[in-house]
Amino acid sequence: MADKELTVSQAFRSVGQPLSQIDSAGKTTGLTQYLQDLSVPGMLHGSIVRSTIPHGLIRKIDTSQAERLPGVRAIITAKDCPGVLFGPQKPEDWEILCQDRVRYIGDEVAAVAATSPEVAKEAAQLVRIEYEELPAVYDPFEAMKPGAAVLWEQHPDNIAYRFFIERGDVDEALAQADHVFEHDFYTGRFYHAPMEPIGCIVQYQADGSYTMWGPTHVPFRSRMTYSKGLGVSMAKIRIIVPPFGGSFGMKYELNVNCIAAVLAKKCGRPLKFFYSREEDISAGHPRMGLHFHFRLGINRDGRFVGKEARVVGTGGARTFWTPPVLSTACYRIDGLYHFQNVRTEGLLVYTNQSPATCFRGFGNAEALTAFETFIDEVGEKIGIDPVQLRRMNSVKSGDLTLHGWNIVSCGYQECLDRAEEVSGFRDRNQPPKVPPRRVVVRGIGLAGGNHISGNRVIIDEFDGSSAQVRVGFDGQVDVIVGDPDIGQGMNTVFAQIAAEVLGLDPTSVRSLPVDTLISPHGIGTLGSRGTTIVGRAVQLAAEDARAKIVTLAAEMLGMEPGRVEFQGGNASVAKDGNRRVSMREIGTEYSTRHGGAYLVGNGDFTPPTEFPDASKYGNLSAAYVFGVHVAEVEVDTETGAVRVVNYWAVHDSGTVINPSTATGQVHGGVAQGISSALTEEVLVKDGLVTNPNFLDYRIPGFQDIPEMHVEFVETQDPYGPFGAKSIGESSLNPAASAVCNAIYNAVGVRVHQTPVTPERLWKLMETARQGEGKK
Amino acid sequence: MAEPKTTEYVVPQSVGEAVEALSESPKARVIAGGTDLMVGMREGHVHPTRLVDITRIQELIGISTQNGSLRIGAATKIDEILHHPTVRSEYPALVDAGQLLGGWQIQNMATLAGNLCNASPAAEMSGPLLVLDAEVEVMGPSGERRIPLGEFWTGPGKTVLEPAEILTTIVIPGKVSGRLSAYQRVDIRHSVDIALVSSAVGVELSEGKVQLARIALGAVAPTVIRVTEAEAYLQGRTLSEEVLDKVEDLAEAAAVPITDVRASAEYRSAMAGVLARRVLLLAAERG
Amino acid sequence: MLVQLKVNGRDVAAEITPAMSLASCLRTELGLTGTKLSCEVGECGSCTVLLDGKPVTSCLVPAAQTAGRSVETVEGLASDGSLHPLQEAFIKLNAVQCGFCIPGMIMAAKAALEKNANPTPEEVRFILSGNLCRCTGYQKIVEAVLLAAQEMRDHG
Repeated sequence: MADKELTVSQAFRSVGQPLSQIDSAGKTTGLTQYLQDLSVPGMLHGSIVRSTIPHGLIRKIDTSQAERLPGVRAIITAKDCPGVLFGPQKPEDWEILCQDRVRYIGDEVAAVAATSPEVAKEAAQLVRIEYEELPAVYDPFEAMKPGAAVLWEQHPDNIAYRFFIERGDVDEALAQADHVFEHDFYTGRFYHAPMEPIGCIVQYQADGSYTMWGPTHVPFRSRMTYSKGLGVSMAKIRIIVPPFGGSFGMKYELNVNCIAAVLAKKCGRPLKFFYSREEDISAGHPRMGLHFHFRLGINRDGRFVGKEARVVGTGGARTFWTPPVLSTACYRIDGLYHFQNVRTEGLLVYTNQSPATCFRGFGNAEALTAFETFIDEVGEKIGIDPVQLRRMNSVKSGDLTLHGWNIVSCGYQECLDRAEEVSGFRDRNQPPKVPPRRVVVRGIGLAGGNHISGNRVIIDEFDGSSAQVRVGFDGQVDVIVGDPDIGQGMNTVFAQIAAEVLGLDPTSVRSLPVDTLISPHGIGTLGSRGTTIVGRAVQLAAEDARAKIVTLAAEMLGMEPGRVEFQGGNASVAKDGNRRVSMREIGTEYSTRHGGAYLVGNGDFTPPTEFPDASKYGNLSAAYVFGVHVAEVEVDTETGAVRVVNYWAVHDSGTVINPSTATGQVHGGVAQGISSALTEEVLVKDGLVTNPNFLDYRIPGFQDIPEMHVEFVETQDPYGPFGAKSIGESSLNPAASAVCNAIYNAVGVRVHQTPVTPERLWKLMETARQGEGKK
Repeated sequence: MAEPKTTEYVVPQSVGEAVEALSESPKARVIAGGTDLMVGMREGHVHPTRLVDITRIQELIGISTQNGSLRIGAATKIDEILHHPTVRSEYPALVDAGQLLGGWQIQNMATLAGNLCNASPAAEMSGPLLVLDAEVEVMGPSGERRIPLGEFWTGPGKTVLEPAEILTTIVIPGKVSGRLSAYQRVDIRHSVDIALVSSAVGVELSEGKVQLARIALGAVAPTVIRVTEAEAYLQGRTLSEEVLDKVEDLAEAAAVPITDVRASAEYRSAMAGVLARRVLLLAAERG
Repeated sequence: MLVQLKVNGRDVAAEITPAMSLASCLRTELGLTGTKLSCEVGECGSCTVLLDGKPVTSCLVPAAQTAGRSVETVEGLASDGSLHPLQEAFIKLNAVQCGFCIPGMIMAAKAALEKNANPTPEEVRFILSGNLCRCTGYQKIVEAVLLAAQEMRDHG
């Protein structure tokens, strides 16, 4: 049952230990206060009046009936808002409230503040809006056709963003290739389903500033985005990040914070918004649907010679984090395999649906779902073992890829070897056949994946992080960073890193919550950058603190600094036996000498990445990670039901700082990947989400996820702390394709769309059986 | 227009009091486990002004046998039914279905009558009770009546209950003791889910020959339905491949499903056949 | 209307409306925010509390129905600062990530272990299938429940 969790070198005391998450006592006792649990004295409750039509002009808004409802304190419309277009990415197309036009069912038209959530909701339902309906468009290919309904006049072709990259001569390569294969795949609209829905509390202060409480991966970027929307300086916005009730990419910048700010100012009272589950699914911001089309040139010997791809994203009506997701979907995979010549076009298309945003895996999970199923098919067609195809074409340690990415360390080959070995893949991977009805058949599938540890290209400003490690008057050691723990246990890893450097018990170290008023400016927790980049800054900060402690301790002990050692929370003297000063004595001494100041170690780390040039060339990540998954499935050939019965995941994450939490990341990523492959899709009919609840939007339960076998292979990478790379997103990336490949192995039908619901697989099998019947 | 609010919560101690409480207020609703009604009220689909809680009426709680019949009180929780020795030994279809009715929490809350009165064509307990020839006892302002379960539903969410009538008891007649039964559904999630299609079968066999068969299908018509053609066909036959194929075809033909967010009509029809065949075999194997 | 009930062994009274759920009553009237609301249709189990010892999704229990009955919430598990074996095990094995589902998960697990003190992993997965978690993939939760069961058998 237990995973083989990696044990690292004995030289480490804290790093490599399966430490418990430092905040889990509060979470198991119910004492942790999430946003749902927070309130501020005098707080009102907000509700958003949302568009009930997919596309139309606002002719009239009548709030009179709502205003008369007892308990209503204020109602706002676009007239109350600054009216500037803003947003987290280009094109900036957010409005705090719709000026004159709605673009999806759920678009934000007005908002109500009232004394209770129930009254606010009731009042929101009483706001009458008259529309002049406009034609709507939902399919991205339809949307790009001439004559289609146009969402934004600035984008008459409905293309919000176009990505293009070309290296080498693809046309020539494909013309010369021994074989050229094509592949289409669609990954469906997938909802993050954090257990805690979106929400925020906003308080307006007399000095014209706003305090906002709410989970966000990117508090400092949020401040930037909101300051533009609200027309105030960044300094006027303070964001306090409470513990996350899950996010997985959903809770970045959210317009509801701006709506709440305008409303809070108008009422002069603090205000809370908290989405219902239905609102979170239907008006929230899922992963976008992505259509992939690949043409792959391959030689008889199995070498890839060229790849042409087109990726089309159904972005929805406004732009959240979809442009960088689209680009990632277009070319991240070029850092896993050497395609030699590539040309990829990506199109992000406006449609009359709720705006999509990023999801753990950031486009790469989807691209891998499409490509790793393709590679299996190609291998079968040319008679080369697909695992061997992966081995032959993949990047290796020391490679410089086509787009200038430095693959300093790469354990992909080891992951492939080990995954094949532990799962018995080779022996069990029998050629598939279309099975008869009335049997349950098993199949096994393997897929690989890569990811990054920080992504230079998605942030304009810089790629680094900074940290402070602080010893208080009382000797308490605290880590302070600007990038929030999102529930995955990053703060625990930081405590372990600081403890390692300072010779402390890691459970005695705290990592402080992020508050933009006091934390250092952080890019945020995205792109799997936490452990690698922020963690390295923590290490450097701890080393800086250590140097200061050594100087002080040596003085206090009257010894040479070179002889000071750290042990068990004490700075002690080497060889001289038992003379020692405790961290408490050090903290008190330092503060006493410096007017109460804390002993602060500062660290900052900017990895040697480059902002890509105009051709998108440049090393974009501090470190690259790899993983290989093997899934074994059982397929009911009559109903199409698929059950994953065994699972193996092998990852290269460099040094694993905390094998227990890292393994937990893999478990969670795999579970999301499995259900993205099998059950989860936000269904939209004529712009209306038809499954906006946990009954019909099916996240997996205990019986849907098998016991998983997780392993890590060790690689050495120079940039992250103690050689650590990342795991958060790479844990999910290969999962859906491993499941799809296992389905093929079981029943001999290729899937080209996720999720593969029972009905979809049943249809594919029925078609295949009819085909067999005709032979 | 603002909907009326729920302003009263009454807790009658007897069936008579409950009927009275319902008679007094035209917009009163019975609440038992609350697992459907609380969702409906929160989402604004139903607006009762008065809730009549029947969970404290002792005569509506529990399982008893009377002249060989099994009598299940309306407010008996699914979890209690699941663990009743007679149910477990005699009526396994009820156990099959009850275990699929939500998770353990829901089974501790939901009542058998609630599941029936909600009149969902996908309700787990309906098919099993139908193939066990169950009847329901109903009490209202004009007295008591007994209704065969097959005549209880008139459409999705609709029953023959008159205003202020309440379902008091579900009766499984003694004559079905010994009938083999089973229930299965097709769903998407293996943990808690809802039936895309379900089937319940009750069958009596003698020396391998079918003496009597009952086949019910759920979620393929406005109410749970019986496949009477297949039941008649099975009479006197053994469960050969050929016979099972025919049952599958008849069940598929009997299904008149809709396409909705959960499944297409085409898939539901096909699964109706698949399930009827499977569940028939499963029931027969229990002999 | 006023409802009187026992919460975590203590008699309490709360002012409620007829359609109010037990979850809302606990959270807003009694200040016990450990019980979480997530799906509000009884699918996710985040709001699980024990009602007369049995796990229920408190988002669907009318608060009025709990009159005179006994409710146990996650806040009632630890006593005098010492954690329940389930809490210990969840912490020890990192069965907690974001933690939002955990109060409901632990309450359901507590009832499960009272019913079956020595479950198999499959039995744990079956009995807890009314609780959803988005972070952990469930494996460490299963392991934690088994560890707690062991602890409780050895030291119970």
